[in-house]
Amino acid sequence: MNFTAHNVLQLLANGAVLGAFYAAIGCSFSLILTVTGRFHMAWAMSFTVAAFLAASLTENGVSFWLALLAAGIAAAGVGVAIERLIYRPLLAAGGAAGGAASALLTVVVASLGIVIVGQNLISLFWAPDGLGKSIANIDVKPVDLGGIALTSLDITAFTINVAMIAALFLILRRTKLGRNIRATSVNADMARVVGIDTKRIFLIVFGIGSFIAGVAAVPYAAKTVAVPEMGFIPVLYALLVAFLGGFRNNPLQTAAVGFGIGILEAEASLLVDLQYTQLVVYSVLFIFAASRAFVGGGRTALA
Amino acid sequence: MTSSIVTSFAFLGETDISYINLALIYAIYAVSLNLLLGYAGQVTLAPAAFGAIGGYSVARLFLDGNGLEVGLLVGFSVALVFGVLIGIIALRLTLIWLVVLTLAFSTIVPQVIIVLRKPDLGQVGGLTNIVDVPFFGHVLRDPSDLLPVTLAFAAIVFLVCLRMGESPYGRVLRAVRDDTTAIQTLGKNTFRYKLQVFGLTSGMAGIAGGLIVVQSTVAAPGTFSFDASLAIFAIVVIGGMGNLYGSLLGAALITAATPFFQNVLGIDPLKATLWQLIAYGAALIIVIRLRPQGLLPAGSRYTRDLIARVRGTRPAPEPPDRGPAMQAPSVRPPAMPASRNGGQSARPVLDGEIAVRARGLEKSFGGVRAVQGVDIDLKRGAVTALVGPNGAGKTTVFNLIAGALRPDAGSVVLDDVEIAGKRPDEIAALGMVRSFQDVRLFPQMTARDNVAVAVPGQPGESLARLFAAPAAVGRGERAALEMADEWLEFVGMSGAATTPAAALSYGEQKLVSLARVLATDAQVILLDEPASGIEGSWVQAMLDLIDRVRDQGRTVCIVEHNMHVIEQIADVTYFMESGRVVASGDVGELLKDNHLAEVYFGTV
Repeated sequence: MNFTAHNVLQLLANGAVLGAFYAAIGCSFSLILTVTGRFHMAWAMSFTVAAFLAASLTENGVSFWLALLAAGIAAAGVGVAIERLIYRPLLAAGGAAGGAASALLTVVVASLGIVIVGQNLISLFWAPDGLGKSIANIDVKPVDLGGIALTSLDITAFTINVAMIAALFLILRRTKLGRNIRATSVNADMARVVGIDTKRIFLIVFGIGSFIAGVAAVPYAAKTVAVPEMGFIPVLYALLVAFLGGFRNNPLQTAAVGFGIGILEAEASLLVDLQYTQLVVYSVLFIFAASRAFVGGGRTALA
Repeated sequence: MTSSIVTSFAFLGETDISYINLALIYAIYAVSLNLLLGYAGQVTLAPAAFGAIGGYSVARLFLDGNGLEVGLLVGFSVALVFGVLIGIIALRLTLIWLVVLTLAFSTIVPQVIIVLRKPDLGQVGGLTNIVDVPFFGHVLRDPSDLLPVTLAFAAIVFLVCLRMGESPYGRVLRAVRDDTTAIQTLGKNTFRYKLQVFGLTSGMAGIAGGLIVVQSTVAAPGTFSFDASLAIFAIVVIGGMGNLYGSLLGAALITAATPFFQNVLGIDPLKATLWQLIAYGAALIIVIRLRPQGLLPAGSRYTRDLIARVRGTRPAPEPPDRGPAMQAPSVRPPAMPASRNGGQSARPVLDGEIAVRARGLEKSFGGVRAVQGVDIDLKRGAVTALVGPNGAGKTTVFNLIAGALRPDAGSVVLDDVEIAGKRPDEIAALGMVRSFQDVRLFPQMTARDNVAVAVPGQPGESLARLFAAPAAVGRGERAALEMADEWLEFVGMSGAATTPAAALSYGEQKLVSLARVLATDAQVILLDEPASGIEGSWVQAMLDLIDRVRDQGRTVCIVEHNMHVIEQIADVTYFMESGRVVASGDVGELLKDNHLAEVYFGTV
């Protein structure tokens, strides 16, 4: 593609659509990590289950919007179940063994186990032909915005993702629940002392975060197809956005990072071969993490 | 390559041998990861990425006309270098960032392989057609040709890791895992240990990756994906972290799952792979939920005997069934272990000779000037105490002298050497070691190991001598254990030698931590509130011990709240208030000063 003003604008629009997706999933992952401290790689399961459920529902005649809602609720259910049935009892049982470090590792290992089990169960029972499932009942039309070509699906996805980020921002900043979530995030022990049921807050956070993941997954799958391992790349992006966005319970800041990455990635296609863009993104994550060793955040006392 | 090994496996078909090869390759991955994770406590989610480096080296060099031995050597070396580089970064990262870093690394490396594919071959999926690879001139055609190679490398890697893990070297690794700061203050260079282990285990993963390429005939990103890292991780966790035999078992179990599902349960091959993944994912969750120590826990009864044989020592006896609580040690005079610098213990206290001279120490935290121009001398062979009300700055001064904090200004001279700004392990090597108020024993290690790890200059702590001078290592280890037992006896804790530190009472832990500090042979001992948090009779036992340490000619500095403790053992006392020394000298004289008594006790 050539470096013309039109191409740059077109890619900016593509980047914004992509960025809204990264922003939403980044906020979702970040919310869970910031408040609960769980390195929830099994986030990918909420994402995948939602897409498969939406595909099955729309295939059987359910409308897109109803399927979208059901997918979000199912994703929330998966997230809440994982916290309630796996993470919480796991840490209650082995929490005393090695402090925060061991707790983090325990959750990472368990969540990866969940991903392996879930992904392959879906392969066996939900996509036995190995072809994946498409979202039906959605009419994708080209849309022309002053010479910039998008699709109606792009517009829908963008709107949904932005709306969810805005709603999350309002919940965190303007409601009593949001205040309790932020309090739990800053200091769970102190929150408990002032009467906040932090276990319930954890479940609510898993619910909200996973709901966002599930809803974002549906238009993502509609653009291509739902396959069992579809959650892996998004969870890495979600993680990238969450880590670059900082952990301040500020969805707007996280969203800004998501949009930035989406736009950069789209514009980068002017410069590098498409197959390298992911490599570039992971390299950014690697360099960012490595840089933590020498400035700020991740640095440990030199011990 | 017809060898006796192959003929003894003659009843197996090539497919079966192929599974055995795979199990051995996964054993190499898992055993090396276990040394890093289970012994040294360092986290990586990227073993398969290091495998990719080895695998790509083997494939690329083979396509350029080289044998497997060249590929493996290059793969091992390059993976080792990358391991050290990651290790250098990892030294300074908190766990969560290390997880992110290695996660990204494990995604990048297989992708780079696609980018680096040999252009004239042009395969999109990686390097293919890695068949009939020669190994020292002998062509490896069938799985049975590869078997002796995988078997040999698995055996070498296993024995090397076992030697590293179950030796004085491994004892330091376990101490690094349990408490990096504490082991550093005992004089071990933790950077060296971490980088050596990161590098070597990464190189070993490179060998596994090189072999798996020969086994599967392709160097494709899929072989080294994050999923592969997960499988390796699962083997280590399921087998048991810190037990290398567990990793062998885990590798066998996970590899056997595929043929089990295919042949025994009759599931078709494509689905059998999926079921295998489900099985190990589920096993992973179940194991960390119900048996977090894994199938074969570290120090398990079944493997202890084997390990003891490797170390050339007798199997350790079962820990005795200890009563609910130990009696406070009676004040009896156990034999004083001979200090290794023997002469010094008999050395008369030279009046006025200064072991440590701190001058003009300054330290601010943000805007708070915690320490403002403090001068302190530690007289050789005397007990010097720092006292003062909360917030007076005595703990800060203690940490400045010990090297845990770097002073903003001022100097600390130990035996004519400036130590301000040196690392704790360097200071320990110069002969000054500290204890911690909150004890900080290595919780998963026995009391004996806690003390033995502190013994300085052990030949078995050098990676080179571990393999080059086994006799010296054996002698050094016997001496270190003997020394540990003597110091345990000195503090009256002989009965607890084989008990894990975490199972000791707080008072017992304080005594073991004193033994640990004494075992370093340091001539200057800094004790942070040695008598705090323990009960009456224990306090007396502790004070008697400190008395005896002084009589040995060592220099002692203590921070203490308890005035009765100070009155009993301090030769020189420094009173601090608001970051300054306000008085110093004999404590009895000082307490006659009404102002000091008021500051300290709040009332006269």
